Amino acid sequence: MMADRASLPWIGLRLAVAAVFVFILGPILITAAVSFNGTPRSAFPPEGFALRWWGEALSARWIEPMLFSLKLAGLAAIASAALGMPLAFALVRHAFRGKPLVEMLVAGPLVLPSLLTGIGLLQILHASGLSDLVGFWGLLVGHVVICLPFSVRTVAVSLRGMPASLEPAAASLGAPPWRVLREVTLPVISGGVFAGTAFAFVHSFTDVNLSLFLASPGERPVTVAILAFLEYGFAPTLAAVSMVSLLVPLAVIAALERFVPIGDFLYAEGGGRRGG
Amino acid sequence: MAAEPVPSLRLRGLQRRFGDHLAVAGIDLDVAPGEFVTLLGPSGCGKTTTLNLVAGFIQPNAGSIELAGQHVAGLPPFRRDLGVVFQDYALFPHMSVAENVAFGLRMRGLAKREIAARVEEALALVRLPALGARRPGQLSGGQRQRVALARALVIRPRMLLLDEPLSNLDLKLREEMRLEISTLQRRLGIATVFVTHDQGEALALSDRIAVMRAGMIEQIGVPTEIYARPATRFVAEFIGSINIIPGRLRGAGPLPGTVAVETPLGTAFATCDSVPGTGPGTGSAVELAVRPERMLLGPVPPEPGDTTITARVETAIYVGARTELRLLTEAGTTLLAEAAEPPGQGLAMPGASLIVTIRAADLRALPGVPARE
Repeated sequence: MMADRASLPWIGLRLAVAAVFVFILGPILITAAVSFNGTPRSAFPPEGFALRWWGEALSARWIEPMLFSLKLAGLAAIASAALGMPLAFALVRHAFRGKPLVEMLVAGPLVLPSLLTGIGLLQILHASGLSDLVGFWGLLVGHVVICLPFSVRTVAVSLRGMPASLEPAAASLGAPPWRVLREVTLPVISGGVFAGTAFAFVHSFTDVNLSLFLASPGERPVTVAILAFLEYGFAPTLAAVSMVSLLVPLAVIAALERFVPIGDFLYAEGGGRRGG
Repeated sequence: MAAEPVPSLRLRGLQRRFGDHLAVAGIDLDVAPGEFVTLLGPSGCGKTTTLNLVAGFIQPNAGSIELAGQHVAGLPPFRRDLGVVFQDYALFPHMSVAENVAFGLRMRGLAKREIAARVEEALALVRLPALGARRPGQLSGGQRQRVALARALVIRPRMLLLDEPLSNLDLKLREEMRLEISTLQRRLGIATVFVTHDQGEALALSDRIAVMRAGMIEQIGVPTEIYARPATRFVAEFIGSINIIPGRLRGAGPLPGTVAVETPLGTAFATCDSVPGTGPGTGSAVELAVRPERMLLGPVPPEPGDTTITARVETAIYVGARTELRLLTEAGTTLLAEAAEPPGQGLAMPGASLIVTIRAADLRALPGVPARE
């Protein structure tokens, strides 16, 4: 049945997988090591050992953009879930004029460089005299735009994966439409909603391209702050900050994975929880 | 006519269109209280659409639906009080078995204590008393089927609608559940519409069978009538296996209600249901239908109206209780027959010639052109 594990294809596959791990984990491990440097140089392997860069990374100077990013990503994720759910229902359940256009608009930010979305939004804000919104509100709008595809897609995947008979069954048992939605549809697709919200959160939290254009000096997410700091050179502080901003989305995904098989929404078209 | 009880379900001129396709093309049907009626037909014949119209999941384009004398046009499914069992059971995956069964009672705003009592009663009815706390995902196919049945029955519906409930089960379980559904339905005396493409299920379960084709009811009757006296070639071929012999009408046969038909096998005498003068006229094309088990093999006492054929046994296939024979007549027609003995014994001898007798009552003359233009 299975090819000999010592055969050439198997060895090739193993090497490829090993290479993927090295290139994904390598930089992270190096950055982590650098953040414990004993000297103010970003040396690798680290020279000596110190925790003071971590102390700096957790000082007000960095905590502030970190909290800003958390707030921004949290609100962007909730807003894109709130918009994405009805959009996904409309796209999956109904045929309407202009549906291909809506589908394109929703998927657009996935294929469009967010750099372009950022420039475009900035110009719209300036042209419509809303320059004051640059900063938090401009960022929020931009992040909802680029996060929306994740919410719509995961909810759409769960809706398509839901057995078509569940809602008629609930209706035949005496449930009016709003109770069908509340007691059957929403619980069944909740996995997709959670997964989409988590993806949106992570996507927003790690975005730098779009944020570059819409941030203002006092209101900038941590990614933009890191980029700005880079102009003065790469210090171990930055390594520590990067580690902190890596741990946040990692924690979100890890927490979510406990409840929802996230992989279903990444790989499978008919993902989501399956019916009995 | 004597006053008949109000039917549990009455369909009149029911039609449903999907785009250009007339899925249900005008159906009239009465289901008496306590009666078990099966809609039988191939996929795409409109049987499930008819069921969905009764349940209120879709709306008809024309015609009326009455439940116990009440017109239900425009009544949404959640006000129809019907118990529906779906092919995939449609159990709510996020609820336990007990919560699934309780769902309809909760929607009716019953008190917690009464819900608990009735759920317990319903689970006992389908012989699943100990599984209330399980999730549907932890159950076998047969158990899910029982939960679905309990969930539909616990609301004490006006009728039971079953949409191919057995087709996802394996053979042994299917026969077991078939018996169970039948027993339960008769015990509760609940009017039931059962949709299936399986003629065996239809014959075993139904008080009456409506054979459907292209959105219409081709024939409706009790199982023995549908099997023994199919009205059209479609019905004849859909239920069980049957021999079809083309021919041309030559006039009246030797017995009342029989006709003489010129066929490649010679002149045959067949029973014809249509009133003389209204049915096929002399010279018109007809098709003769006879079940394989009604082909009498070997010497039999002759009766008036018998058709006798000489044929050679081509193949003999052993299927357990009997042997299925493929016969080749002198005219080159292939016919199916059955023998009691295993292949190689008695009449089931491949290569041997034998005499086949068909009684006029077993040979049925059907219209040679489709009943509908």
